[in-house]
Amino acid sequence: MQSYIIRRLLYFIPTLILISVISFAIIQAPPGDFVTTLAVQMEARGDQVDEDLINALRARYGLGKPLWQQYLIWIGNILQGDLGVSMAYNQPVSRIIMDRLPWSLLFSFSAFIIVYSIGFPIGFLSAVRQYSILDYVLTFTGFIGLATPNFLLALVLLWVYFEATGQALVGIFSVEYAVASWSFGKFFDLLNHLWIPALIIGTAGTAGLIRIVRANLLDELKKLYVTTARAKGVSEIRLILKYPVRLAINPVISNIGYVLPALISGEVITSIVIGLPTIGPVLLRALQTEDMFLAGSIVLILSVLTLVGTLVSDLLLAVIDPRIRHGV
Amino acid sequence: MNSDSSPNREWLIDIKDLHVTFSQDDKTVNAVNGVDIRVHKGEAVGIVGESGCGKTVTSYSLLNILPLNGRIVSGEVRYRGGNGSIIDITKLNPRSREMRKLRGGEIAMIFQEPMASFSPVHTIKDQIAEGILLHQPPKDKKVREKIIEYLGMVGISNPERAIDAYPFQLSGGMRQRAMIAMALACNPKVLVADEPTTALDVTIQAQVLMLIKEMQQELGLALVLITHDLGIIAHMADFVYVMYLGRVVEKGPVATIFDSPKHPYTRDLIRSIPKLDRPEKRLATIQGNVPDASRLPSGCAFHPRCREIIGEICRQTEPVLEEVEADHFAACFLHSPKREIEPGTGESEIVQQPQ
Ligand SMILES: Nc1ncnc2c1ncn2[C@@H]1O[C@H](COP(=O)(O)OP(=O)(O)O)[C@@H](O)[C@H]1O
Ligand SMILES: [Mg+2]
Repeated sequence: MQSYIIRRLLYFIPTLILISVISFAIIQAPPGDFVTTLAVQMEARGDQVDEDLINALRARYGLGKPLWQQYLIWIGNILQGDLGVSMAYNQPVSRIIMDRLPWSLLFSFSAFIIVYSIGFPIGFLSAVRQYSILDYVLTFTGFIGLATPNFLLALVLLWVYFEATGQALVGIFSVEYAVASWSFGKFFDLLNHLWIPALIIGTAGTAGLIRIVRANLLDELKKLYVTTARAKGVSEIRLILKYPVRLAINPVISNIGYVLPALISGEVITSIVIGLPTIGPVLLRALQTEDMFLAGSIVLILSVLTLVGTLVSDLLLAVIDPRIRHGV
Repeated sequence: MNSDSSPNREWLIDIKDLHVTFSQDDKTVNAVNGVDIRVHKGEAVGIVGESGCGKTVTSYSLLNILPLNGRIVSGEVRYRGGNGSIIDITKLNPRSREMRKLRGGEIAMIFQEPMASFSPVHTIKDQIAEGILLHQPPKDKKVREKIIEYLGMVGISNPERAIDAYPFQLSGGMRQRAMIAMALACNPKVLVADEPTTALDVTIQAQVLMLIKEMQQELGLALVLITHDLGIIAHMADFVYVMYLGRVVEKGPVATIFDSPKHPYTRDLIRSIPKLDRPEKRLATIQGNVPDASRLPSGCAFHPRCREIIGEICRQTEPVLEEVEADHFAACFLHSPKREIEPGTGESEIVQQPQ
């Protein structure tokens, strides 16, 4: 167990370095350095270009130095909480991310809960009732969920919501709560605005999970150890929960790490349609406007989160599966 | 001794005209086609036949644990309970409490693959305790002590350690011993062992078989030993059923079967037993392969592979078991008065297999 954890943590570090290098490469990708771009933009707006400020920025980010030194300076700045400056927003990247990321995490987490609390039981039912009408209905619904584009689903649900309540479902608060301070009313308003986007963001993931759970469980149900348990006189429901479900859970847990990036990339379109203050649309816009510090930082943060997700799921696996613990 | 009419030998299990089919890809697989098997108290019954002959399906029917696409079409599987009551297992709901009480508690099973037959993520203790708690919850002794006792009994060294092991931490032979301990721990009356040593090293096979035999005799169990290897049967069984394509083609006391096998299939099986004193000779094999059970040959199912085929009668008429000497039955026209009757006439038609 210990050696497994140590090994797993040791893999974590080089991957982290690799990711930071890739993010740095993204930042460096456009021609010219960003300070020059900034100066050009300021001129174009007719602002006075402050030579002192330009030079200060150049020094701070080590521009003009060899790339590897710039990289180290960039890393050093990040460790002090300085992610650079967004040209499009004319704000520190860290502030934009701090504004947006919590919302993203909130929506992703809600979607995650929806994915697992709907996907797992449905996949389970589908498998233990294989080829029943229930199975066909659930599998068919799952495929529709997988095949429906998020924007379409968002538009349809927005329309349904509007027809049902007479209110437009835009943003994360209704007008009356948008600037109000926190209260129960505001909290429920948030919940009300949360579940529909979370459902939309989670549909594809839910459909995917249904298929994974169904396939794994069907595989496990055929295994001999299930017959052994049956031959001991264990009741069907107890037996299924104790053995095949326990083993079918493994691939589901190892999947957790990959759910997060899928949710965040799936969130972009939904957020644009519904007008959510999340990070997805910002990333899209940053890439379109070559706002590279912003884009690179978002990619870096999302990658690190994913990496942490896979680490957590791997450690969870070791906890529940003795074969991994004992290195079999 | 094994005569059906023998009054001092009560049967425990009586399988009568059992038919089992599977539906698979729009086809019907005729896995078991009218099997009669009787197991008496304390008796060791061997069921032998090549792979695919319906041995495992027969044993699954015994516990009513057929897979979902399988169905007992007709026949009876009767079990005589401790209080003398007779239960027809085929009439029980597979999920009923009554059925589950029989499984493990009265009839216990040992499977072919000790690795695959244990859950890899539960300890030996967890898996053995499950049955004990269901069938024999101990009053005075703790479950753990009881498991250790059984693990020691089946020859596992250091049972105090093995009990907390996961199956993958034991060797193949030890796993199968643990499987045997698991079966015995619920005090069953019948032990069904389906190819218990096929997956093991040759050196371990003999030890495990000996253990099964010892346990059977010590505990007075009835044993149903299923194997494709007649050589194993010779050492282990009192009475033998030879199965081919879901039918019993020959049955008799083990000595009689080996001394004077009547069915050409049995003769072929005996010829293909490896002989230690003649290692230079290439192993005889039975010509051809076991046909697909969804397209059974007409007449005698063995006729396409038979060396001693008589003629048209074998192709068209299904032979039934007939007594060739005391207690010894074979289903073959070589030994039947019916061989003179031409197909299509007389009584031979009534034995045509129902489709
Ligand atoms: N679950 C199943 N679905 C379809 N056919 C099956 C199934 N299980 C067994 N069979 C078929 O039933 C026949 C008998 O199988 P089995 O009892 O396992 O043979 P044996 O144990 O003698 O090797 C074979 O033709 C096999 O293909
Ligand atoms: Mg078999």
